[in-house]
Amino acid sequence: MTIGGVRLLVVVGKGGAGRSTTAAALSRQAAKRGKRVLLIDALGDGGSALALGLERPPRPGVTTEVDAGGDQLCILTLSTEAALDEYVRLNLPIPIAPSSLGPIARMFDFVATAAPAVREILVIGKIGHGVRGGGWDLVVVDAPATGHVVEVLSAPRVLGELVGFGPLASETAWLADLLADGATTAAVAVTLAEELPVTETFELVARIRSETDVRVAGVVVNRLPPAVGAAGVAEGEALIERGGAAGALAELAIDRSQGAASERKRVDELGLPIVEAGEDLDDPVGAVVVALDEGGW
Amino acid sequence: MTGSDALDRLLTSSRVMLVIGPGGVGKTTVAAALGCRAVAEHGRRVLVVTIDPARRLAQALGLEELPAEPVLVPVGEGTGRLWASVVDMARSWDELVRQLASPADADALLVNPLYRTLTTGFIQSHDYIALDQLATLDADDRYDLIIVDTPPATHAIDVLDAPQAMVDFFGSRLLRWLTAPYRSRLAQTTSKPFLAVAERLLGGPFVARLAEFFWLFSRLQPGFVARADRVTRRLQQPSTGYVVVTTSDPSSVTETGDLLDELDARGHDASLVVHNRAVPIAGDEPIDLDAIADPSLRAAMAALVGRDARLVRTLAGRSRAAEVATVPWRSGQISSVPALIALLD
Repeated sequence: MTIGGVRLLVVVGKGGAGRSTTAAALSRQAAKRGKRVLLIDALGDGGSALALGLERPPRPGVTTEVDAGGDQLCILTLSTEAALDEYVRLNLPIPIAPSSLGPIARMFDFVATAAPAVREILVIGKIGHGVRGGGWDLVVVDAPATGHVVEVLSAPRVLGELVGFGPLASETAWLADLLADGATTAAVAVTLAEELPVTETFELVARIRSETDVRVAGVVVNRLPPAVGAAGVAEGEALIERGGAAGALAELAIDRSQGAASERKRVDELGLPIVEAGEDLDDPVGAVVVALDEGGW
Repeated sequence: MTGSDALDRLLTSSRVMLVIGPGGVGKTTVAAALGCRAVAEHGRRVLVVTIDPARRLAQALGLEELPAEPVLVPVGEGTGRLWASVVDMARSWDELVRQLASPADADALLVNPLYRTLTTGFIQSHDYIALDQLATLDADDRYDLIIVDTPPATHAIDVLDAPQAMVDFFGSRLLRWLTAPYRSRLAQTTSKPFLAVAERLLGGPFVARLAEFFWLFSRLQPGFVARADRVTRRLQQPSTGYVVVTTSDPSSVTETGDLLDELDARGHDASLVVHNRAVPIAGDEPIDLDAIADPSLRAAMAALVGRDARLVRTLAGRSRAAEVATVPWRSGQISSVPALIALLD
C-alpha cells in the first residue's frame, strides 16, 4: 500500500498503454471503498469517461456524476478554455465577456511552446483547486501523454523561477508545495510489457524524478498476455516443427509471452511497487481493478 | 495477403494515396511497401514522402538516410520508378514563407524570434506541412502516384483537417485581435479587453512580439488560403485514395473505428483498410485450438486469435464496410525493397 493516504493521484504513461483505463480503475476502486472521488481528464479526449462506461464524454469544464452504484464518483474534462475562464474569474480584476475567452484560450494553445508553463499552470491550477477546496477525498488525473505531463507537473516550479510574471506567480507557490508533498501527491505510471513502452516508461520516470518534485508511487503493467509454461513451450516447438498455420500461431504466441516476460522483468529495475493486469478485451478496467486489489493497493 | 484485388485497383487508379492510422501500427512500412508494389507490379512512377523524422522510411528501404529532395530507389528491372523523401519541417516553412510573402515581409518574418518555435511547434503544423506537399507535388509530372505517409497525430483525422484549420485560423477573431495594434483605431478599441487580459497574463513585451509575428503572418493570408484550398480540393478528388492502416492491438482497434467514422463524416471513403501484423490463419478454416493440449499455450494462442477477431468484427460491423487487406505478421525488421515487396505478396 503506497498510495493509501494520497489525495492527488496522477496517472502517467504512453498513449495506448491504458492510461485512461488505469485512471478509471483507480477511481472506481477508491469510490468502492467509500471515498468521494473526482476523475479529471486532463487530456480532454474523453477516454476516461468512456472507460468509466459513460456513453459520451461530458461537456468540458462541467463536473459530471458517474453512476457508480451509490458510490461517489464524478468526472471532469479539462479544456484550456474552461480552465482559463475559471482562472480569470478568480485572479483578474478585469470584467471580461465570456465570448472573448475562446480566442484567448486558443492563443494559449498557440503560444504554449513559446511561453513555457503558461498553459500548463492553468491545468495544474485547476487540478490543485480540486484537491484543496473541492470536497474530494481523492482526485485522480488522467494526465497528458508522456513528455507533456512532465511540463504540467513542473509548471509551478518553472513559473516560480520566472521573475515578475504578474498574478500567475502567486498561484505557483502553494501548487509547488502540493505537488512536492509525497504524502498528498503521487504519480502512477502505466506501461505495457513491450520493448518501446517499457523504455519510454524508464525515460518518463527519470524525467519526473529529475524535473519535478512529484513522487512516483508505482507502476501498472497493463494487458499482460497469458504466460506460456514449460510444457506449453515444448508442445509449441513440436507444432512449429510441423509447420503450417498452427505452428506459426504457436510461435507467435510463445514469442509474445516470452517477450512480455522479459520486458516485465525489466520493469523491476525501476525499484517501484508493480501490479500486473492481464489482457481482458471485454473488460479492461475490471482487469486493472482486480490487479490493484490483488496487489494490495 | 488477402484483399489484394482492392489493393491493386487502388494502386493503379490513384494519383494520391494518403496513408493514415493510429501511431505504432506500421504506417511508414506499409506506405513504402505500397510504393514498391506499385512500381514492381504496375510499372508506375511513384514518390513516397514521409514527415516522420524517425528515419523509418529510410530504414525500410534499406538506405542510410533520406534527404528532403526526392531520391531514386532501385526497384526491379521494369519501367516503373520509385522516389522517396523526408520532409524537413523547418525548411518547408521557410520555402512556404519565401513563396507566399513579399521579399521584405519574408525577411522580417524569418528573423522574428518567435518564427521558428511558432511554426515548428504550431498546433498541427506537422499535419499541415505533410499535406501542403500535395500543393506542389500534384503539379509535378515526374510522378504519377504520390504516397503520403502521414505523421503520428493524437487523432489521426487531425491530419486531414489541417488545411481547413489553417484557413480558419486566418479568418479567426484570435488573429484579428492579436494583430489589432497594427491595424485601425477601431480594431484597437474592440480588441482592448482581449489585449488587456493577454498582457496581464503574458506580460506586455511578450504580447508585443506576438503581435508583430502574427501581423507579418497574417499578410500571408491570400496565398495561404488559396494554397490550402487547393490541398482541400485535392483531398476530395476521386483519384485520392485513403489507406487506413491498423493492427489488432486493443488501443488501435478503438482508434481505427473512430477514424473510419470521421472519414465517413467528411465524405471520404476509406478506400482500403490494411490489417497489419495479422496472426496466422489456416486458409478459411480457423485453427483448431482444442487440439492444443497445454492450457497455457492454448490460452496464449486463443488470446492472439481473439484480438484479431475483435478487429475483424469491428470492421465488418460498420454500416459502410471497407475493403480489408490482411498483411500477415513477420518476425524481425523489414529493411529492404525485396522484403517490402514480399510483405504485400
